Amino acid sequence: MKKIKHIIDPRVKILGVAILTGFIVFEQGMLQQVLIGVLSLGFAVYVGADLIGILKKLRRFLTLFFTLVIIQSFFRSGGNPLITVLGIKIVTDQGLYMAISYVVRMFVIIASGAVISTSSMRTTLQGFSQLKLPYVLGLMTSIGIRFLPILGEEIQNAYTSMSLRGINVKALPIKKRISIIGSLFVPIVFSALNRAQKISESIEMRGYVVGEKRTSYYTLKMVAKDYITLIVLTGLVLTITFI
Amino acid sequence: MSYYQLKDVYYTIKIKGSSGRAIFEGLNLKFKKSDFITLSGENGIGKTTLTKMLIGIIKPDSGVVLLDGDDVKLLECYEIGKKIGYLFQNPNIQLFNRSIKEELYFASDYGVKTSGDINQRYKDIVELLSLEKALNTPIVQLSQGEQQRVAIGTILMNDPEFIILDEPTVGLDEERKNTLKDTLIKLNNQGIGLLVISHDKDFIDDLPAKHLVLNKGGKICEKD
Amino acid sequence: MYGIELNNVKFSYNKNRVILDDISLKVKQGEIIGIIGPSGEGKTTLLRLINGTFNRGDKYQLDGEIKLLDVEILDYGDQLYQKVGTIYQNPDNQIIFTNVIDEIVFGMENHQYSKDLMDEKLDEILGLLDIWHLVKRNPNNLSGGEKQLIVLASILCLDVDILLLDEAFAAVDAERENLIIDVIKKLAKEKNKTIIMVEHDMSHLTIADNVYKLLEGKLCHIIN
Repeated sequence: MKKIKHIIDPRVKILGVAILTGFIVFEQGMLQQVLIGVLSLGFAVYVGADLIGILKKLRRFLTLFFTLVIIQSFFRSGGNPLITVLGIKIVTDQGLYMAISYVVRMFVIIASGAVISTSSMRTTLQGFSQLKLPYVLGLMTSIGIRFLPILGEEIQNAYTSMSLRGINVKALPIKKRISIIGSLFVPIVFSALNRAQKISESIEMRGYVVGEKRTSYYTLKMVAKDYITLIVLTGLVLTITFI
Repeated sequence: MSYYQLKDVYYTIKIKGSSGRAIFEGLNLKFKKSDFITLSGENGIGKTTLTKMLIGIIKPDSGVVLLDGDDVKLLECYEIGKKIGYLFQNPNIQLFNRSIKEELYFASDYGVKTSGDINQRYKDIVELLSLEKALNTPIVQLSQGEQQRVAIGTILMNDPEFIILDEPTVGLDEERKNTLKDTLIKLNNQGIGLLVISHDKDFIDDLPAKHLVLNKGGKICEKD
Repeated sequence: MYGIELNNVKFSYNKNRVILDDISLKVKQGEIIGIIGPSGEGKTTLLRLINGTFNRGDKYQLDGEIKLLDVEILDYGDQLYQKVGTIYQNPDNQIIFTNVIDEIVFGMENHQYSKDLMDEKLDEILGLLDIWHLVKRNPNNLSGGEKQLIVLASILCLDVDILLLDEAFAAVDAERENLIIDVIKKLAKEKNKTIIMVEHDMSHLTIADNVYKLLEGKLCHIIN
């Protein structure tokens, strides 16, 4: 029987991520939120996620995010002021609380993504399937991911061909820049729709019908380590909630 | 003095989890402004990578790509575009408008100025590429051959010195390949340099061009 | 028994757009036929009438009889996909997974093959196409020819009786071309499959038993 080489069963990862993100939404206490954040970090490290690598890739996004968080949480009225300048409340305790809350939640989301990405697309798909979730969701996601690089290349090619016509997009006035980016997407969207049609044909011709029963070349089997991981994780989350 | 020159170019494609695949290990190639060159070679050997280096989208790991004496690395894409045209294998990726007229006037609508009377140039190009009958048809409804001609038209509107074509015969039938052949010969006779990447033996053999073959590692040899 | 039988097939989109005009064709099992002709809708439409994917959305008029293995095509229903497999020009529009094995077993999983049967089929087909070395690879990193082999493997695992190729060699390099052509010959002569190859390039049709030309809706026999 062909067993996929993995350390932790993807179902444990899926369920673990679901529990962590589920609880972070409902946790109110600062301490609870931070602890869930720490637990997410621990879980990601435990399954071997390359958190540092992912955080590096998200550098630009994270900079934007932090900027927004700071803007959101400064100058908030309500709550006790922590830093005042010339009589104006810059940071209040409520503001600080909100900032930390946003940051922790974003971290849990990123850590969750890192955890899921440690299993191959196929094994994760199989995990979804064996958890009795609709195969079609995983299939669509998997196809989307397969075509991401192709989409990226097409966007680059379209932009390049636009520039090669002598158009210096960066030097255009804002209005024109927006309209030209709109034009950029004309061939991209067209190509994507065309491809979507061909792909759905390719799938259909190989007998796929949404919702119909199908077998799988792979079968996942959980071992003791998987069960223990899941139980410990759930236990820790519950403990944190009811501290 | 060469127009385009790739000098001692080294390039490796990075693949996750391995040291990568070496595409060019000391690639040297030069051509003059009005050269007519075809380049063939196995799939995956690096033909498209080479053309992308010529327009600066891919930068070599070491070595230099010179266009008319300038290091391509230091040029912006739109600056390169003033001299060089590029026809992608799938022409509709470079078509952004509804009608042929809008498409051909696109660059000038966004401020690109070229010498001469643009309206006259438009008329000349439509005639050269036999696009008169297609002028009233939306671009999305044109055949692949027609779309390819429109894409070539957009390149010609810029008054290029040199045009690179990446696998222009894929998807074309005999008749349209012949039309393309005639067009390319006409363009070269007008002094426009051409680099045609193609694995279509019959097509390139029929072109009055210098035939080069790209081999593993970036070794170029002339086809016999 | 004929693999494919078309009797007086007429297909048009409206009175002015007749695509197929009274086509009759009989292809024996184990026979390879080639169809050439100018670009347009005829050849691909013909294939799509046989594999069941012609655009049922558009208003069309279809007359005449189409039989596969002596059974009226409409009588197959969903089973049609187990009888006919098609390989199109661009493998990137047919491959949906990032792992070769996943791609090849997809069809078998949909048809509820058991694990053992899947292993049996894999053994047979991967051996036939000599692609065991590609098994752990990501199709994104394969050459055009290798990708087409994966598509072919995926279809052959379903034991289709009829194989349609729509300009399948467009993105394939010379080396793999010969391999695929040899495989097609084997499939016809040793496994009795019925094969239609739509081509622009006559050189791919040397293995065809008969070649037809589709011109202005009419099919005429050219070579034996």
